[in-house]
Amino acid sequence: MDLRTAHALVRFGMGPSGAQPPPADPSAWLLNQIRQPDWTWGSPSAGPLPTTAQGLAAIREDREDRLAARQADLGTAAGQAAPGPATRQTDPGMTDGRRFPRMADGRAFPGMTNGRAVPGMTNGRAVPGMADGQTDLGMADGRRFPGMADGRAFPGMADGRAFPGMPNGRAFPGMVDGRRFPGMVDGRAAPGPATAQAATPGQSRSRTLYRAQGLAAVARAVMTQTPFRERLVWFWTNHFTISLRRPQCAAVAGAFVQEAIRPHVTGRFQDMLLAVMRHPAMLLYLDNAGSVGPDSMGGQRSHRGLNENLARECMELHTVTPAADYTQADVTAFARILTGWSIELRNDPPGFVFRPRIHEPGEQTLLGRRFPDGEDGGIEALRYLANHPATHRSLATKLVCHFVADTPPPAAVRRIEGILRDTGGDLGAAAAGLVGLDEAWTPGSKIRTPLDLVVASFRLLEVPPDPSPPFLAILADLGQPLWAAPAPNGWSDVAADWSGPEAMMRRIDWAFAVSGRIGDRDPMAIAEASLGPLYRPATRDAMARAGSRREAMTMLLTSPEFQRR
Amino acid sequence: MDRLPAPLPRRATLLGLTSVVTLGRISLAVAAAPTDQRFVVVILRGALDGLSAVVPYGDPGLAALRPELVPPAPGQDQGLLDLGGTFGLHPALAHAHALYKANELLVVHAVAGNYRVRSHFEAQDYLESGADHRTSSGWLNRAVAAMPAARQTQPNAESRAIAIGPSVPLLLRGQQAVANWAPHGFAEPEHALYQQILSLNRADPITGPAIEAGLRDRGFGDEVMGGVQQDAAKGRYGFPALATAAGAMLKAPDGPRIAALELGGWDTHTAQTNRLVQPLTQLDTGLDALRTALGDAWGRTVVMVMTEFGRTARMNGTRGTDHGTATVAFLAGGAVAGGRVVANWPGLGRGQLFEDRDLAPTTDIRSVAQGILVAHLGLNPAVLGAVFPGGEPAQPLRGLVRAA
Repeated sequence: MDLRTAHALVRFGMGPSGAQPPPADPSAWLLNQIRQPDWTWGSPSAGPLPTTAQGLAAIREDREDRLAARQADLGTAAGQAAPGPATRQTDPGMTDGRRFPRMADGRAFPGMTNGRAVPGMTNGRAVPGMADGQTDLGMADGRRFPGMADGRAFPGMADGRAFPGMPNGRAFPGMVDGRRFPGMVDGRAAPGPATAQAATPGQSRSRTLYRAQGLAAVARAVMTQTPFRERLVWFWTNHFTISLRRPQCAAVAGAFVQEAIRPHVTGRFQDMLLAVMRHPAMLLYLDNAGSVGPDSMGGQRSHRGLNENLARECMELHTVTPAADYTQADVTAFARILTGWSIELRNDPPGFVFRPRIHEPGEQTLLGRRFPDGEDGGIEALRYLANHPATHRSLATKLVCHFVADTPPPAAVRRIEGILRDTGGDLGAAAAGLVGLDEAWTPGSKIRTPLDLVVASFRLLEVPPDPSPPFLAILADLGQPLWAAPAPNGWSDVAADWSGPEAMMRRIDWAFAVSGRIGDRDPMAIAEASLGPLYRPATRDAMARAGSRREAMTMLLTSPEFQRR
Repeated sequence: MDRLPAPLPRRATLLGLTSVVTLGRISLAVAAAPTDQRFVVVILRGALDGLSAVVPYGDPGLAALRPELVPPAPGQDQGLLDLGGTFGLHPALAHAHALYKANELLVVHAVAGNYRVRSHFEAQDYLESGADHRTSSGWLNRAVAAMPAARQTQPNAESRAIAIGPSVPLLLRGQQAVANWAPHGFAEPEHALYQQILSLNRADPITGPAIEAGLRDRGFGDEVMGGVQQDAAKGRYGFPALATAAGAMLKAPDGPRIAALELGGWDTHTAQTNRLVQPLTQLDTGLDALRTALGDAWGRTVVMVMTEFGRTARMNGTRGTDHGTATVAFLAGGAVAGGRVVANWPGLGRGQLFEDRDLAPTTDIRSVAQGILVAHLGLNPAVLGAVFPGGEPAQPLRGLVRAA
């Protein structure tokens, strides 16, 4: 393997896979991934991944269960009948009333004397089960999954053996027998903590969906044969961060990636932006589902108002950035434009809905442009922001930071920025432009994030991630819990934020743990075959002297050449 | 908890380890165990220096070969723990010494497999496969499979043997289904491995300083980084904790009867005197933890401690030793006819070393294993050829266990 091939696998791909031969022509291999469809996986016998609609149904059912439990408690405590159905007419878009008070002063909204002034409106405390924000705890029956015929949590997940889309686990590359798999002995699911915890009673449906989707997402990254596309998926997912910091996102996080991000990673940025901004995960995460135009019919009657969270973050993080010199008036205008972009949980299927009744009427001025009211005005505004020169510059900077270096070389940024401008935001063309950057072919200039490291390690070892919560706990232990960034700006993409001493020690400890899965394979042969010239003689020498395969593999996974990409 | 419920709850609590020991779906639900005897194999990966663990201080050739590697004589401060005038246990093996004095520890010295390779990986494969060629299954798995059929009445026979650790070692792999258990979370590697990882990263401007600071923050002071390791407690993932878990499982009336554990950190190419203290202490503490956890079942237990090869008789240029040949094996347990050192001692004098560098092998490690399998687990001697296939058949050593 030559250096260019080895580098292409780690810089643009998700790390070399022991199961896939290295490409003969790395540039052509990368460019083909842009032109060709995404790798598909799974088998017809396996169920599909949960959709957004199914996730929303899970949110609704979780909420109803909590409500029923609360009513039962109230009924017991007060010695009287639980409140009737009217109380249940809560606005499904209004998912967490606690966020609203930050618009005012933390107290109830003016004019809000009870939770019924507007159907569905509450002050955050009137929604049973929602006040504490613990949306996914205390479920009595986590095993029932809406839309699944047999009522099991997720196809193939109940016993921990198979992944979604992979009925018996055999679809994993390199899985010829069970010996390579921890927790599997002789190809059968072996007893062990790793296999014990799928679809557990006591977990909410939302949480169950999160686990299934999270595991599937990482397993896909481990197995994909179009790893450049996959890296783009993770890159754009991080760009449009949604997070379990808002617990409702759990049920739809995976569907968000599949439906709003993945289809567009080589398409036009404006299409991805629109898909993201209409996706319930984003509308929940950044509070737009409950944002009400003050002068709308609903706003007039309820005295509710704007929530500018999504509008602000969309401008600041997703599109133009403060470099565009927008003002608070622009943010407010954009928030008005986006009012009514909400979610309806009771529709069939549940999903995005434009609610004219709470949409702010009238034309709005954003960055000097006028946009009409109505749903189309929002679409127009997003299209404008998507194609703004400042957006192109921001996206180019982020892409170059990810694919070239923590400090993006200005010339490289200008190249990608020019491509985005000239192609109307064609992300495939930008990706091809990255492959064409000389600067992107300098090895080792990026430190792997924990997620990158975990995926790359699993690919190298040809083993699937553990189909169990411990696997997701690993990412948390390493400092990057899946789909749970602390803030809307997502995970850092620079080494300084990932190279703390304890963080590095945890990587070592995890590398030691996962290296226990080396089995009877030769770690040095794995290193030679997959890292090629990136494999340093010093690492080779140390591995040759290692006391066991496991220790040798640990050295490889913790070596500078593997920590970097 | 004396008796493990069957099936176990998702999280079971064992012996005060509380939630640390996550048993998961480990299946110990077998009514009729194949044997009431317990057998535990501890694989020491990385090649234990047998001449340091059980020092032949009575051999006049020793001091000249490795003057700086020999602990003080018995009776002196930090001195050897005497085993009867010729051999002495490393001072870190105090619990083992107590077992020896209670006739529950047997030392087999100058032992090696039937292979003469000095590659860790190859030698470990041979050690575990028990064959004269590499196989995809291990001798312990084949032995379990060959145990008397009348005792294999339970469909869930996998509970007869269990691998304690993150994976099933070759020793236990094969046709016979076995269980596998490890605590959830990250185990910490041996400190020597941290050191090697640090040195591999030292030149890296990001990972190098981070790892160095990380080790410091975790309390591995400079002294420790130099090799002295005072803190043998490695928490819930350490060998003593695994040994405790293994003992608790083996003790259960319905539990497994055979277990395999691993312990690394033996590849002492440099600063051996310091670096051996930690893994030896781990081993010693672990054996004691196993004994404690087994309770009454200790009396029906044999623990076999083995490593892939020994180390050079001479000290190398960095106060360590390189890959060698013969080494030591231990048998511990209430069922062991202990209190003895079994060795056809080859000597360390001129012309007595193997290839003029290593302790010469005079006992085949497979003879030790066979002796246990036959006398302790009741394996039919006629199947030994199938359990240890190929080459010259080793003969089971006799008299390793007490008469029942």
